Amino acid sequence: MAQQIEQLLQSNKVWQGSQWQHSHLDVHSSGFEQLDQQLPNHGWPQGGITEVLYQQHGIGELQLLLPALAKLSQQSQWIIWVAPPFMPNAPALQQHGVDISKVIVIRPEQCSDITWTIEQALKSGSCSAVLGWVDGLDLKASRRLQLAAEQGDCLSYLFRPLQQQQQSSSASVRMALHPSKAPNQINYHLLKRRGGAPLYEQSMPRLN
Amino acid sequence: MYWIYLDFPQLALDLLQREHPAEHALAIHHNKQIIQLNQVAYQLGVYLGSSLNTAYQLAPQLHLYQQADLSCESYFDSLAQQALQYCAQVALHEEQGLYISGAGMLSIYQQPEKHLKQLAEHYQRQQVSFRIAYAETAIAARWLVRSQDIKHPETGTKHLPDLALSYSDLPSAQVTSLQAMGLYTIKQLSNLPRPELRKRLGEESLGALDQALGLQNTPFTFIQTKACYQQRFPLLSETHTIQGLSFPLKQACQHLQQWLRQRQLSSNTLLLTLSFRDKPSEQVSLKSARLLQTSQDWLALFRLKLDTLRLPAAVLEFSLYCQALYPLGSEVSSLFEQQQSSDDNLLFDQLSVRLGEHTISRLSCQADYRPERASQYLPLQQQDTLSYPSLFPRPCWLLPQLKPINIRHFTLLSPPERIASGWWDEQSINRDYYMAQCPQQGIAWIFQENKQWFLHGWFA
Repeated sequence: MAQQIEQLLQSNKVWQGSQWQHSHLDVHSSGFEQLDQQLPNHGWPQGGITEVLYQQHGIGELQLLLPALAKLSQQSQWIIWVAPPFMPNAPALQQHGVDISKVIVIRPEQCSDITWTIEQALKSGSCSAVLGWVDGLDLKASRRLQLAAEQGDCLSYLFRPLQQQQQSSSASVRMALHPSKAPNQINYHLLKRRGGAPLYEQSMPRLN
Repeated sequence: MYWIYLDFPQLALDLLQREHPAEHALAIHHNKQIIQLNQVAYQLGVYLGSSLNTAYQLAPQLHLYQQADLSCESYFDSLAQQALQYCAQVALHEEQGLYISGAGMLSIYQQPEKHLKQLAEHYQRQQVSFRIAYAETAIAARWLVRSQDIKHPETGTKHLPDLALSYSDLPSAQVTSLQAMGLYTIKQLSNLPRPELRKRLGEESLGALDQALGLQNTPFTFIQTKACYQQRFPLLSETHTIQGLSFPLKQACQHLQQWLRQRQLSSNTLLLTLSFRDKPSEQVSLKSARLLQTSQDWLALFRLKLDTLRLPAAVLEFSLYCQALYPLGSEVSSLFEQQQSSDDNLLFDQLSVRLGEHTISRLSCQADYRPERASQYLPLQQQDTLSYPSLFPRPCWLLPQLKPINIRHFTLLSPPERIASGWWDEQSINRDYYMAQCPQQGIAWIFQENKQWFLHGWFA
């Protein structure tokens, strides 16, 4: 029995409660004090996927990441955006402190190329962060991306439609964003955080 | 000092022979006369100079080709380029012959015979028929070659004085009249007093004779090694699938690698042209951010490209073309550009080959108040970034096209920001921008222009 458990643990299929907020896992501060407290190890997981599920544009889906991206853009590596739904506005990114000379936008013409592109970017080790917008992602593809992110050791965010929150995913952190009546706050649920229980109905102030 | 002359008298026929089974009778005609024929046709009784009618009567199964339809120029050029592996100076003769200079070659080959042997072995491997001879002068070598029969090369005259006049380049009318006078060999001719010879032959023919005897120099234009790689690869059998293409492509890449290695070059672009049956040919271009030489690197890029390629018809042959060549070890970069690591370049290679170069862009910020102009995509190689001074918040997303909206559903959240600019280039705008909350609670960037409201971005 003990041997079987040992095997399970070694094959990395099970995470343990004892890993919760251990300092040896690399994280990157989100720049929001409240969010850092709630995330495992106090920050966005480095070398793991963070999923952001949302339906409506303009509810703060990028603002969550911008403080972290601004810090990462000071490094020499690239920040790659794969298949964004609109054009990233360079002046706005600059206002938030992101060095846009590190930003590369890739717009594949075919949907099937999107996950491939994200995987290549994650694996390459040349990126400090990869942001990808995907419509459909099965568990297998999600697992592949998670492994690629571990290999490349970079921050990776996957933006997915809110309807897919019931689908299982191997991401380290899953976050669902909901519109808020008050125009100056972001409503979110932390659906999954490795080692911690889900957190619902949270909110924090918007940057603008 | 010696010269070697090498010619390919039946190059067109040799190339035809490759495309036909050995038992086919082949012949090439020009002006309705047979000028080249293979062994099978010869055994059937067809002879050189026979008319087309006669040839067909003798051998009804004869495959006839017109000389004008057959082009072997490019193949001859590649044969000439190959000669440069064995000597420094090669000049061309229009009858598909090569003048090969032996200047300075004795230190390598010791004897002209050894040089000759090396060349002969090389062209035997190419499976083309050729004649080869050497002499003191280039013209003499050519005349000696002309005395050889292609099927029995050892029959040719070995020394210029013994050469029959009919094999020289003198005009045939002169040769006949000289023969009528009992002059048959070069030796007999060169023994005659020069003033009389000049009177009889004219300045031009005497010049040719002097060149052959080494009394005059022959002017030559030597060929240069080609500055680009271009090679056709006919497929043994046509293929419909990418898998069928991958093995020949591997061989082609190895050929390219060999070519690049010999010249100590590397390249970052390669053009693959696929020729299809009954369909126009297609070009696939490979671009790399790195300089590549080895076949593995090229193949890896080709695999990515071919994964997404659809073959519209069967592939008959393909060719590789490579022009941008750089000395090995150099880097392509602009003067002030900072060095990118090779990992980055590998990633961008893979992405641009699979997705296309236009799908990868940088973001840039331009000094323009019009929001559409302030944020722009730039190709990966360009870098041009300004800081954009703005007191007003800008949205993170910009819509590619303005979207008309009904303002009654929106709640304005900010005072207006007026942007009026661009009167100088006919795309002037005069807009009042607001931050507003849309009915679904997203924060939008909207503006009013000419009493119409538009959505322009999202404060994501």
